[in-house]
Amino acid sequence: MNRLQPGRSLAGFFLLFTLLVAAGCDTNEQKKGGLDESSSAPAFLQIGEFAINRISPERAEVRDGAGRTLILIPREAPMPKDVPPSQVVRVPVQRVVAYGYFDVAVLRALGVLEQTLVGVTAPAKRWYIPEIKRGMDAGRIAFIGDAASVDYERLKQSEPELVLTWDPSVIPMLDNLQIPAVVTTTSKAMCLNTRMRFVQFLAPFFQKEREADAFFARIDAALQDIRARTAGLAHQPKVMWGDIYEKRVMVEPGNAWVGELVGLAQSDYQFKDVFGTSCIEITVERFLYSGQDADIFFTYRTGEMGATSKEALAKLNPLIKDIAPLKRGRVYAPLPHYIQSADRLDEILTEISAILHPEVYRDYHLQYFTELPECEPVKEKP
Amino acid sequence: MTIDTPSVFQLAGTMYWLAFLASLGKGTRKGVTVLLLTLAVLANLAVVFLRYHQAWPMLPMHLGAVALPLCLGLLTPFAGSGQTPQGQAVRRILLALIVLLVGAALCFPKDFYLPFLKSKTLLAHGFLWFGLAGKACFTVSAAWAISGLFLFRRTPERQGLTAAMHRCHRWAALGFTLWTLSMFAGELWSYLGWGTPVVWEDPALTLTMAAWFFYACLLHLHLTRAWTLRARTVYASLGGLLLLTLTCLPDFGPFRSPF
Amino acid sequence: MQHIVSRIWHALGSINLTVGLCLLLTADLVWGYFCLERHTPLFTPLNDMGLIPWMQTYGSHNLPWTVWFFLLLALLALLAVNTFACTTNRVVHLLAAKSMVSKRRLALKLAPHIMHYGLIVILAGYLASYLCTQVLTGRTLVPGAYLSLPGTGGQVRMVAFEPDYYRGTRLGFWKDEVITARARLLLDDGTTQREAMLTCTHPVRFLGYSLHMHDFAPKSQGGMKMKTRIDLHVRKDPGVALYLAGIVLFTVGLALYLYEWIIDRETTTL
Repeated sequence: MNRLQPGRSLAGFFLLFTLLVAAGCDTNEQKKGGLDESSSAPAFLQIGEFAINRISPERAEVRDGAGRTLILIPREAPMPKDVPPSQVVRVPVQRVVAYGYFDVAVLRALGVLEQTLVGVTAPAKRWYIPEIKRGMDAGRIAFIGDAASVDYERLKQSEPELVLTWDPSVIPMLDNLQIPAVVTTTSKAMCLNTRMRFVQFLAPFFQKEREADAFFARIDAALQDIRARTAGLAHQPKVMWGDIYEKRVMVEPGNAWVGELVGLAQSDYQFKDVFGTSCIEITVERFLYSGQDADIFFTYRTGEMGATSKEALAKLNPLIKDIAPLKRGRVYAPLPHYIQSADRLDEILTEISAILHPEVYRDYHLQYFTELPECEPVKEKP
Repeated sequence: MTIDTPSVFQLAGTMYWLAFLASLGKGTRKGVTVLLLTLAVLANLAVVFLRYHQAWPMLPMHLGAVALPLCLGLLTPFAGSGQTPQGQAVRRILLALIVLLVGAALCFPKDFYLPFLKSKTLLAHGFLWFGLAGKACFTVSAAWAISGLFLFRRTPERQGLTAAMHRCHRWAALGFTLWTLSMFAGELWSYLGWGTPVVWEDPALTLTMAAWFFYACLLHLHLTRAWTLRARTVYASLGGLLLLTLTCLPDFGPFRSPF
Repeated sequence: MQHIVSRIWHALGSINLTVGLCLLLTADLVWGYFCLERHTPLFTPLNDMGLIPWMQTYGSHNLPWTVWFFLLLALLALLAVNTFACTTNRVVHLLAAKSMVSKRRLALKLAPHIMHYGLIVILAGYLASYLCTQVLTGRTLVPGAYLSLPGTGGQVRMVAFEPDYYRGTRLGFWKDEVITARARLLLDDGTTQREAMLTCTHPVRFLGYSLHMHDFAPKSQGGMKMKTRIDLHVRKDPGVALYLAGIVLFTVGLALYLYEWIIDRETTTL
């Protein structure tokens, strides 16, 4: 038997298979979709752990952050028989309850906040979004209770067609009420691409794909600007994002959007090798090691949680008092409305870039973060 | 008093390095080599114990980087006879590899992840330790192939190379058994914990499968006449080292100065 | 015609084909590591979605990152055929000559072939699993809530969440955290009821389904207040029995093979 024959056969098979795969390859995502008026919606869209699969003009399947599948059908379409009613969403949704600040902000980005939001899980005093305050004052938006103790009667009275939640424990009750729910959080931290595109995941629920694309384009433009401004900069600051609570250390992993943004803005994210969920726990030793030569530290805590100065932060967390940003660097805390500003993602990305590279953002005024002073401001005697 | 794990591991690395240097000598230094290796293994064992102490009953994350040198250190005296040139060469190769592994583990540690609850099962520990033992046997197998390649590269002596490859195959067979048991333990652990024997969230599983097919291939090569003895030796040696590097990759993190 | 079939059969059973396939599989899986590492969300749905739906969605729309997986499937299929042909040829020869060797010798000679058949059974089990498993993802239970199992009259009700919290000092980061997550379930098949304990590492089997705890809350006694819940993955997997049987078969063959290689065999010409 010719020694080379098996080798030739294998090579031929491999080449043939590759050609078959290449011939069958169709990576064009601009196939016409259904269930919307946009002709450019892709048939299958994957956004991190979320996905939309347009089966037909009358049906789309979405996969939420918990891996659950929901079916989107037009409002006037008959109820499908193969799916429980609590998994069917009639689009465009006209009444929605949202748990998270992030979800509310995305609704605002889509331009459907005032028209569709009927319930939230934070009282009026905690909101900074004017539309929410107006809606609650006018009685159009109800406070249905804290996320840990939702008033299901109040929720039922709001007659939502959809609930956007980060808490899967409400799903059994919502199933009983036949209200579909979408889990909008995932086990892994949202990467930058997912953060930018999440609006495209929610868009089909409201048939606002064009608005979602416009939002994405705006964010993308901001990123391009950041890339252009920071390209070639010699100084690459070392950045940390997290905090210590008693002896438990939580940080944003490298796969989170902040970690990716820091890298994109010509900076060195100290936890870029850490992979996992948002607020991932790591060892104290690693946190302190990374803090030895970091330049900038972003804390999770707001001023209300005690992040009013470096001195105050060090008192709250004696373990971190010796990290470089507290001793000779810069420390930033989010302002209270930061968490409700996901619709201004472009501005937030720009601000983070401005914090990292103030030399290319002259006269920039911070809107979403505040730099912590060294000490507590001295209170003037009355 | 808390014991600093990196310091103990540095001590182990130093002992391994000294044992390697001593192995380069002849005659009376054998006793010194054994003594230094014993001290190194004890220090390494202490590190593994400390990591387990910080995680038990759960699995310490990415323990492979510190535990593989321990497994290799324990196998070194059995890897080859200290009386023959080949056996001595294999021991020196293993000690050199151990020193490299310890150096890499010190400079690229991945010890900052906390253990997770689903690893609180004997199957998880079985998956780890069978895998480490298997990998250590694969390394010994590669060491035999390397020794055959270098000792007999200039001589037409086939018998020496044949003997080296025979030992290489035996260690590969033992390693393949342990690696397979590790995979089976892992699959059972995955099934019980996640409902599926293969969880497509950890990229390291593909490297585990790659190593399995690599050594399955090695164990079949003697059945085909298409590969000469020298070709099989190159496959077992260089390929073995490459697979070792790849399978160790998931256990290493970014550079961190050990000093 | 018979001659052609015989030639194809022998080509499929060629040891050179085995070697080539193993090499390709090794290379493909190494390639797959780098694709999987950078694009894990593309592959995570394989855990619950089924192979065909995955291929039609994630797989086909992200070919630069998933083509290695398609190649893996093809190579495994070819390996299964090759293994079957090669092994069957040799087993036939061995059994034909069985009168010339002792039973012990025959068993040792059959060891690699038992492993090969075990491998085929394992691969068949995986295929059945990925093609035919019914998975209900993200099924959340709170105390008192129930879950109906499709196609059966069965119901699963969560009675209580009974975790153990860590009270020691050795694991400082685990203080007051759940160290054992335990949920008491009531299984009702329509005629009888029984209780079962579900943990993170110990699923519950009921009416052909297996219930696996995917997540739970609260995870600690302090910290953010979370309502008590367990998230289940409910699976009806016809491939489990096959790949478990394959594992047993392979292990038996491996034990015999190891015995022969390490203890019994003398130096052979290689």
